[in-house]
Amino acid sequence: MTQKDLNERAIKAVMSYDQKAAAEVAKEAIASKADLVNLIQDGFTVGIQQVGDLFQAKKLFLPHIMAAATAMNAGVNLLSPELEKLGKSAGEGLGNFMICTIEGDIHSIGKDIVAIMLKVAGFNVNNLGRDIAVKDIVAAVKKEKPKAVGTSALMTSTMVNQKTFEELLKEEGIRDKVITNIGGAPTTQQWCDEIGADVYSENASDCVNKMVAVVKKK
Amino acid sequence: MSKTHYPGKKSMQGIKLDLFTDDDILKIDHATMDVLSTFGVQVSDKEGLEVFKKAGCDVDMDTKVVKIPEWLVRKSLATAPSKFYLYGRDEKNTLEQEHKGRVHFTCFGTGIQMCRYEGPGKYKTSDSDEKDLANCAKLVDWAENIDYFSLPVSARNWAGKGAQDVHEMLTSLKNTTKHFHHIDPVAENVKYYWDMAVAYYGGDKKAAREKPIFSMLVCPTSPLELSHNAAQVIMQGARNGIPVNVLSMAMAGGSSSIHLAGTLVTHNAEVLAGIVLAQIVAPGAPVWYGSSTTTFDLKRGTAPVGSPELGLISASVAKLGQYYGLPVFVAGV
Repeated sequence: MTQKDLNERAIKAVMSYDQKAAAEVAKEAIASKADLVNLIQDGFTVGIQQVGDLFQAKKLFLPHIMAAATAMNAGVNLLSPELEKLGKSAGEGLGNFMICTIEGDIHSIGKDIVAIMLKVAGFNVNNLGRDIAVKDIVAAVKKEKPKAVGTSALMTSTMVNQKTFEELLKEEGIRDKVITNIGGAPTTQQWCDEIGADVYSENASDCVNKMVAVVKKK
Repeated sequence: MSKTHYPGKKSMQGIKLDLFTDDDILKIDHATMDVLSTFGVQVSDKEGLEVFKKAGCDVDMDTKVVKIPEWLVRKSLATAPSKFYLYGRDEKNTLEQEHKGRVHFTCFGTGIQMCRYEGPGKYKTSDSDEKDLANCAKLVDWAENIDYFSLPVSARNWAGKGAQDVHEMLTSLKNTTKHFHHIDPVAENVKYYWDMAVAYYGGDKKAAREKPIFSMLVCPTSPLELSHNAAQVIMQGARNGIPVNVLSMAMAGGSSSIHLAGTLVTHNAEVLAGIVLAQIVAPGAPVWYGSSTTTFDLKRGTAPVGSPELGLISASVAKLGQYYGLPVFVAGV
């Protein structure tokens, strides 16, 4: 089986939401000592991007994206330890993106959808979860040095913590080291400007479009 | 012509949307009791957990999951009043909320922006502020088709500068003589709302309790969770006689089952859990059976409060509320 065949099977597995097929392709690739980095980049990633494009075109629904992402993970999770053994990396794609729901807020569905969409677009997403204390997000940013960090708030009463976050980043002297992105129902471009965040996202697609553009420009 | 009526005649002077037989409702009720007693709800508030535990619920302090037995739900429904009054600053604006009573209307909330008219064909949308809230309150005060005032927009100029929710309460009370329904209450500040109501009655706490000039709305977090804020607002409201609207906004296909009947079950469990909490801390506490439950748009990732399913759900919720003998609050018409 050639590399091209493996890649095509990986694309097909993701596009047909088939976890089993994705895992099988990964296993075969490992056994036949194929180019695993290439399998991720020209196989699995291509598949998930095509699913993402179909979603953007309103041809597919959110559960399709989730199912495709699960299938992709079934394959990539097998490949990652092998790559580590070989001392290789699948690359960071568009870079590391840290995301969470801000302190005091437990609403996570929208944030999780954004996380999946960012992953589909090629970001390496670290989803910290919900109700994450501002000081903990700052500590995580310091430690992991992501390219961007996104905070979500669903209530006007928790939205204010996005401002606190901006202030704490400045206090710690790392504000210019990371791109800040805000979202959630009560947030607006005006709020983004007021608190000095870099990017405001109205919804998941808006977030992906803007963040990809911003990261590519830098 | 004879004016004598046929005795026992049933008439329908309007339209009727009847989605269930009594047995159908019973099925949803039974499924809900099953969810509450075997799966439970997560209560992310320490005091709330202790209250449920003391009342006889099976509480896991680590997972924060509370399993509510059927008898406690039934007992709570028995103590919840079928009627209570919402007082306005002007006595003529006082109204009743009653099980199978008259229908009243309020404004939707809480918006975060205002569309401003600048001239013919020219509009500009920007973040709402305290002045917008005051203007809305004055408009609602005038509008005779709106019975009481729900927070329609937030006073965003206070965001990050002060207690926004407290200012929203004061601005609303100052600008309408109608009852104020606070949609965005913050647990830590309920005591200030209460202080304002007491101050309005010249320091008379008894009057503030008996004639509440404001009420509060809280949302359980679907699926099956009462947040710290929701649990605290429910308990503090119940203790002070402030009517509390326990309103779930499950999104079918997002935070609840894609099937509407299944959505009704978890929605029902969430609302009943909140009502049980209110009745444990203060039997007889005035509560609404509330709903903004709707569908989740799986193409756009939005919650359309206006989808055809919302109408079906609201009609079903009205039936459930009636079944439990409670005043009902639903989104949309």
